[in-house]
Order: sequence, then structure tokens, then C-alpha cells
Amino acid sequence: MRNTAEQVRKFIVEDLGWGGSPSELTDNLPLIEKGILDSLGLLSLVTHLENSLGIQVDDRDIVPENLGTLRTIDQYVARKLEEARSQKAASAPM
Amino acid sequence: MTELLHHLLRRSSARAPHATAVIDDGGHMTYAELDRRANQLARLLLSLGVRPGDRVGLHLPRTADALVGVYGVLAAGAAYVPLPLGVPVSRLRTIATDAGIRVVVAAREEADRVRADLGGPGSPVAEVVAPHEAAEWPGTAPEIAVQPDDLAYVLYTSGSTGNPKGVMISHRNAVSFVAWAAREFEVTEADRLANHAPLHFDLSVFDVFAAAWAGAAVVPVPTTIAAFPSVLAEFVRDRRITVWYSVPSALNLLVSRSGLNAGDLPDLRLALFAGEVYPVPLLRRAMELLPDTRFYNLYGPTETNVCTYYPVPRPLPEDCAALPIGLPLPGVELCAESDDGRPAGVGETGELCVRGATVMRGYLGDAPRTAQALRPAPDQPDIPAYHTGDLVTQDAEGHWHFLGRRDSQIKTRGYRVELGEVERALATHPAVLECAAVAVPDDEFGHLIAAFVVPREEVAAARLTAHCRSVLPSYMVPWRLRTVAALPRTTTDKIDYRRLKADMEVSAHAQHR
Repeated sequence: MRNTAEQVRKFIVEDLGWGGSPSELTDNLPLIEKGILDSLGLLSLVTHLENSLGIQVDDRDIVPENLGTLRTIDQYVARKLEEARSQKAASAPM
Repeated sequence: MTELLHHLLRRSSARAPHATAVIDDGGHMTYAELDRRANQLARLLLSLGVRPGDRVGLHLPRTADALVGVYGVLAAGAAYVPLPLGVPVSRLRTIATDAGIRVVVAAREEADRVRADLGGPGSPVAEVVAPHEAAEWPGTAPEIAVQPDDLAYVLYTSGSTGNPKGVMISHRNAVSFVAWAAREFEVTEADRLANHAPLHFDLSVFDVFAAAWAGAAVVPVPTTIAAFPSVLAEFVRDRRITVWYSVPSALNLLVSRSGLNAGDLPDLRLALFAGEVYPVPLLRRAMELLPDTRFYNLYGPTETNVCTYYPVPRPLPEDCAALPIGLPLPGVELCAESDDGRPAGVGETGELCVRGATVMRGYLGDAPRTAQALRPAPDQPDIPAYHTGDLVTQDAEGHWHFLGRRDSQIKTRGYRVELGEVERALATHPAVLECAAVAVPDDEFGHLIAAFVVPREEVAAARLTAHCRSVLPSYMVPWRLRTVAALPRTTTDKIDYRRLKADMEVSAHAQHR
């Protein structure tokens, strides 16, 4: 859990150039309402997650329930990684 | 016909008091109620000493209250100055000081914070009021004489010197555009206009006032919804939006990143875009997904409202590489001024100069910059024209075409280069979705060109550089080319060239030679 949230914090500060400090980005902070992510920041984040974690984010998954806060992002990513793992396990030779 | 913006509201309120004026999370607000609440706010502002010609700050979220704020300030005979949410306090203080704002209208729960942020020593801000505080005042219109040439609003745009400048728009300037637009786009009381652009972005002028002109409903799009394309598409469908107006990038997110299928937004009859060039391949895709929607390209710097328009033909011709900005609005005159100061002929390049009723009065408190921007064009030596800094050309059919920014013209190794030309060359590569070129000052070469590319598919930067080499003279080939997930945007959704340039300058110092 810590890893994904930390990684997203780092991305917001270093890549998106957000002006505040990473510690202000608490787990339940609404990232859109607070103006930390806008529509393009959000898509950059999605691309970043896809590239760094090897997951596929469907356009229809880009909703507040999945990407609204660091906590929901963390849960969403964990779910996607779990899906990827079980698919891999299912397709692996017996 | 009225030439005052708040009279558009009064007229619709008198004609159809029960028609819906605004739809937000709080429900439907009728024209009669919006008019009443605006008048109450106007009376409150007058009681605080607001006088005709004063500038009043608006720091309100995108709800019906924002419209109460706009019309309340206008009904008091003052001009509104949007103070956007989510921007650094230092910038808001700069605007408040520059505009001499004494009274700010802010949401009730924000009032204390705004007072602390914007008030205090050295600030002109003395009062912060919430729209709800006006509820005790009478709802009839205060009798305030307002003339069509009086100031209606001041919009701050970033200046080339780094200090924002206040564009002064009169009632006449705005109504000239609004009345044309409402007729051209056949806006009626059956329409629902999305308000996607924030008030400090001049696209909002159409949403807010064309709706009032026609007695249509405005539907402000909450920022939390605008950020999620699929949620936004659902919003547009469920609220039965009929008219959409935004920058191309926002329109494009709505249609192509939302999982939308062709025909999913049957009520959307009109899609207007402005503020940037819509890349043709993306526009084609959008037109496929919205098969029954009419598309228009509108053009105009804030200083001119909108000054040209182009109805996008359907189908879009196969050989269309870039959309024209089209024809001038009725009553607007255009002239392209060539480098040697004469009117450019058909097919020649020049700086676009604009004259007419939609053109601003000037920059607030800045006579030198006003005189520099508003000066005669070569075809009419007596009448000031706004010099846009945009390079254009007119084709044989009379359509105008945008070629790039005058100030993006740079010299590198002694050659003159338009950065727009580098961008256009990059954009012809099939893997390029979007791109931006900037120039980094360099002692040895004058400038070095750097390019940022959002790829459509995975592509090596070296391949794109090779492509540039194949279509451009070597001095125009980017010195550094970086692929990125998205281009940074300003608060008005335009590509943030300043930030790209800053990024590149930092890495240039670190890695140069």
C-alpha cells in the first residue's frame, strides 16, 4: 500500500510540478476537488501507472471511485495487479 | 435591441419568468429567481459603496451563485473581475491590486479565508461578501444608469512580460459577440448550454450570456466531473446538454476518452471549440462519435472576444490538413499586416489586425501597452485595430488561416524559424498525437529548438527526429526531443509554453554540450 501511494505522491510533486510538499498529500485528500489533479494531470498519472506498473487502465475505469484519492488509487492498483497475477497464473503451463 | 448584458437577463425574466436559467447540484433556478437574486446582490454591493465603473472581484465555484455574482455586479453598474479558484494567492493579490478591487464576492464558507488571503495592508480589498448575505434586500432592479460603452468585465491574461494584464471589455463589446452568436447558433429557450470554461476564460461569456439572450438554461460543469471523461459524458447525456463550448482538448477528452459510442449523445446539437488548433485527425474522430452534431471553429484572442468563425463541413474533406479560422463576424474588419507594414495580399503572410465592435477598450491601467496593441492597421490609417501577434493568411475564397504566433518566431544559427512550422512538421508523423516546440536561448546559436511530443503509440524520439530531418531544413530540426504523457496546460487549458520552456532551460543547463 505504502509503495503505490508514495509513488503517486512523488509523481505529483516531481512530474506534475505540484507546488506543495508530499506530506500534504494525505491518503484521503480529494485530489480533484483540491485542484491537485486536473483532467490532464489525471491522464498523465494514468499513463504513469500503466508504464511503471505494467497495468492497463480502461478509459471507463477513470472515475472518482478508482482515482479520486491516494487511498482509492492504491486500492485500484492493488486490484489491477491482483487481476494481472491471476490471469498470469491461469495461463501458466500446469 | 439592448446593448447591456444584464438587460439580457431582465428581458428573459420578464418574458419567461418560470423558464429555467441555471441547473446545478442545487436544482433548477428560474429566470425570475436569478434576476431577483442578482438585484438583491446589486443592492447589497451598492450599500457597501460600490459605484458605477468600480471593479468587483468574483471568487465563486461553478454553481448558480457564480451567475448571481456576475449579474449582481453588472446590475450595480460595476464590472466583474473573475478571481479564479485554485490559483496561487500571490497571483490573486496581483490582480486585486491591479484592478483596484475593493469588494469581493465569495462563497460563504470561503469568505474568511479570502479576507485573510486578499485583505490586509497594501491590498485594496476591504469587503468580502457572500451572495446569500443579500437575501434581505429587495429583489427589484436598482435604478443605475449604465451606458453601452461602460466596462462590463475585466479578464486577466498572462502578459509576455510575465505580469498579467487586464483586458477591459465593455457591454457593447460583449453584446455584439453574444447577439451574433445566439443568432448564428440558433440558440433558443429549449437549449441547455454547458458552462465548462471558468469565468476568467472568455469562452464563458458565450455560455452565460447567449443563454440569457435566448432564455435558455446554463448548466455549469463541476470541476470534479470535468476531470473524468466518462463521468463527464454521462453528465452531458443525463443533463441533456445541447450546446458545448470548450477548448479542443477538453472536447476531445469528452468524446474520445470516455468510452463513448457513436450516437451516445443525441441531444448535443452543437460543439463549438476555440482557443487552440484542433488537430484534424482528432477532430475527424470526434465528428464520427458525434454524427449529428454541428462543429464550429471559433477564433479570437480575449482582446477581441470572438472575431472569426468557421462552420466545419461534414464530411471533412480528405485533403484537409488544418482548419481555417474562417470568416470575420459581421461588423468586424480584418487586415493582415505584412512585415514591411503593408496590407498582405491573398496568400501572403501577415499579422492579424482586428477592428470592430467586439474589440476591447484596452488594458486596465496600462496606457502604453494599450497604445501598442491598439494602433491603426495599414489599410485604415485612422482607426485603431488590435494587433493580435498571430500570423495569418487569407485564401482565394476569403477564408482566413492561422499560421502561428508572431512571437514564436525565433532565430537560430541566423535563420528565422516559426516554431509553429516545426510543430506542424512533427504533427505529420503518424505516431504524433500532439506536440509543442519551444526555443531555448543559447549564446552560441541564438536559440535551440526543443520539442515535446505526446505519442499516439510507442515511438522512439530518434525516429521522430529522423522524420523532422526528412521534412525540415536542418536548422529547424529540434535539438532535443522528448516524449511526454501530456503537455502541461495553463488554467485556461492552453498549452503552457512557458513551463515547457522552463523545463527545457533547466535540462539545457544540466546537459548542454
